[in-house]
Amino acid sequence: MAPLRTESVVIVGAGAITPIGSDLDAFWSGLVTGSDGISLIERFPVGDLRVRRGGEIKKLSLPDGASPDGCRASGLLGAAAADLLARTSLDAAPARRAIVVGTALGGVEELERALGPDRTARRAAGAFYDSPAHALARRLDARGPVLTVSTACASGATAIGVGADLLRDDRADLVVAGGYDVLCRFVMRGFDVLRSLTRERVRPFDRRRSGLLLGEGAALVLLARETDAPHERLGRLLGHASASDGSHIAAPDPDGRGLEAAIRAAMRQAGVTAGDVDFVSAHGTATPLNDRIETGVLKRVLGARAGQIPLNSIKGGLGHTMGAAAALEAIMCLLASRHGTIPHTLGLEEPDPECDLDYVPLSPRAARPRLSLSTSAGFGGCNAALVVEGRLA
Amino acid sequence: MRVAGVGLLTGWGEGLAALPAHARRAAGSRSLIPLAAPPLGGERFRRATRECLFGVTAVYALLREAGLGSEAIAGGDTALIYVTAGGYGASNRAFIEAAASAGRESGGALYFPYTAPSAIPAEVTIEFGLRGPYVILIGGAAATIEALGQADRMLAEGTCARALVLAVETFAECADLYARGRWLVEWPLVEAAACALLLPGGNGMMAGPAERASPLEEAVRRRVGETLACAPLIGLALACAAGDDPWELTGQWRGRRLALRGERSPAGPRR
Amino acid sequence: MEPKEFLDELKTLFVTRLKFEPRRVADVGFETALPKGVEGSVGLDSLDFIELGIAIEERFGIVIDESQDLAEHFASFGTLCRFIAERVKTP
Repeated sequence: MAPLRTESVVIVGAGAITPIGSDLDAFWSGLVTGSDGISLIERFPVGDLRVRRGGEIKKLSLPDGASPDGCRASGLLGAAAADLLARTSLDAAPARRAIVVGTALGGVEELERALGPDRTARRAAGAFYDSPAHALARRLDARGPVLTVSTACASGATAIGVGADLLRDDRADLVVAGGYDVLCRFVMRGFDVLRSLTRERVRPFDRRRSGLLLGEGAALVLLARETDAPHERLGRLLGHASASDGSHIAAPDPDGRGLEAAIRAAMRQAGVTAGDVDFVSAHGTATPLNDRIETGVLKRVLGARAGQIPLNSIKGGLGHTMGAAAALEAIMCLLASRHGTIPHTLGLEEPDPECDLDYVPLSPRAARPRLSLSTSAGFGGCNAALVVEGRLA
Repeated sequence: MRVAGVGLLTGWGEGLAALPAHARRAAGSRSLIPLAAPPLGGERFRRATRECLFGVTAVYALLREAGLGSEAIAGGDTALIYVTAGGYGASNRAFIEAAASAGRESGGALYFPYTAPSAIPAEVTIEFGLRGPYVILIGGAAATIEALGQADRMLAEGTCARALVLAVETFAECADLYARGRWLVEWPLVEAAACALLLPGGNGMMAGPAERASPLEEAVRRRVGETLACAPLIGLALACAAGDDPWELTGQWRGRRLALRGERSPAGPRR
Repeated sequence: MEPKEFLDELKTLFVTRLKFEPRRVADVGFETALPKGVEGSVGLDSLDFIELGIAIEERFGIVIDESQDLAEHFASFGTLCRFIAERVKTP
């Protein structure tokens, strides 16, 4: 099956809030300076957990009206949107503005509150996973499609893909797409009990890697059709795809079949081959299993060129920001093209014989990738891949 | 797109035949019509939640209705688009409340992965060997209209050879929360799982804004009650059964109503 | 505790924590294998092993060091009973 190459979509601009920086510029400088956003969690009780650290955003200064109910998820989305709007504008009628955001956890922290002392109707309604997306739509006066995607930790990538499809289908003229998630007690307890969290530092692709740490954040991009997009832009989305493993409720497929299918389909849609790929932003969670499987998949897909293509994981400094991760990573690819620098894989110091690709260890690399591949995977056998083309400065 | 089959479970029973003429009258004083536990069990499903079993059972009902075996949908050519407004609520609540109580029941490692909305479609992909495109949308009936529109585009583009659109909604474990947020939902709340297997062909269609509820949307609400994301799929089943031509599905959620229209019966021509 | 008592305790954990039907574990013995994919095993996967490890820690008051390779100890009911017995302090 060879789908036709579909119209590419312009990525006009981006906005973000992360544990290593509260806007896009701070995020980028944090990446290239090797900033470590991992710290002891202070916002909620963690005393009973085995691991008490994560990529917590310590100072969240909210723009007016970003989070009327004190919902942190809406707050993060509002902060990322404010950053996006500081760099670009929504030049479309409200009915032609769409929102597509990905999240693994949605408003689950509101559910924790709704089951506690706050018995209000508003709190209960906030527990729906799509509440933060609708709050963002109200804030941006977006009256077109408002969608929430929840393919676990691949959500941000799936959401950007769904957003591009809305443009191709002429359902909207501008799409604000991306992802977010909040570091909360619910998810910390969940990953703690799964023994997925490391007591050491996060070391993607390192011989000593022993698990992930979680982080929080939000990242949004503004998407437009080529004909509507301003000259000033970050790049283009050339292809996107998703695939299920059909293998296990929580563990990745042992051969990474779903991830491989997603990558191949995204490259097919983009009309590119391994020879065109200049850089890979890996999922790279730093669990022993993920990094080995992902390395194997990339070797199969990229073939003889696999060892020559730089790839990185930025989860060492951010933690795994779940729904935000893939959106942040796609933005990182575009910024690498703009700045001519590939951020290094923070935490990788001792190579693993089973992970033998060029993971850009120790320090950033002077290189200006044009075409980047970004990979993501999550619970429930969710996989997604994006192919983006950066605008070369 | 063409509809190859529809699978339907509601609190009223399996299939369209189980639906009452008037849900409110049939419900009487009951505000919630729960789904009975499906006859799935044993080793394979020992960890699965109630809502996961409903998702799997609905797909089996579809295959039975369409006269297909599991192999007809297995592999990488079948897309799965799953939609729910609140199908994760029960597992999320159990996990939160287990932490607050002394006992660790529902709070352990086996439970956390089932709190993700992706758990229900994951069990479906595992059971039927689905390895194709995979999208999960959160929202009520309007999100299901979007899902059907996406399935139609994927089929037209050749991203997949067939698409399974699935919705599951359970309410029993969070009935008190739905009672608090009742401006979002109608009554009675009827637990449901519904799915449609879609093939290329027929006329192309696209989701778009709608001013008012279509007769199909009204028929579903009248006959079934509130099923959130399941409603458009139940409407599709009604349209197929009646051979509606033209047909219009609408779905509303959070004040937004979307429509999907077709000119020939979505089921026809039957082969 | 006698080996048979450890086995009975494990069977209980299989029912209460891993959600096995009681009749499924009624006739397992020391030689019954645990991991999925091994012939005649009860078919545990990675998620089950995590939960089982936690359950054993709580039930027997021992600490399992996850940094070591535990596969040989979690191979069968027999190896697991020995593993626990070696770590349980007798009063």
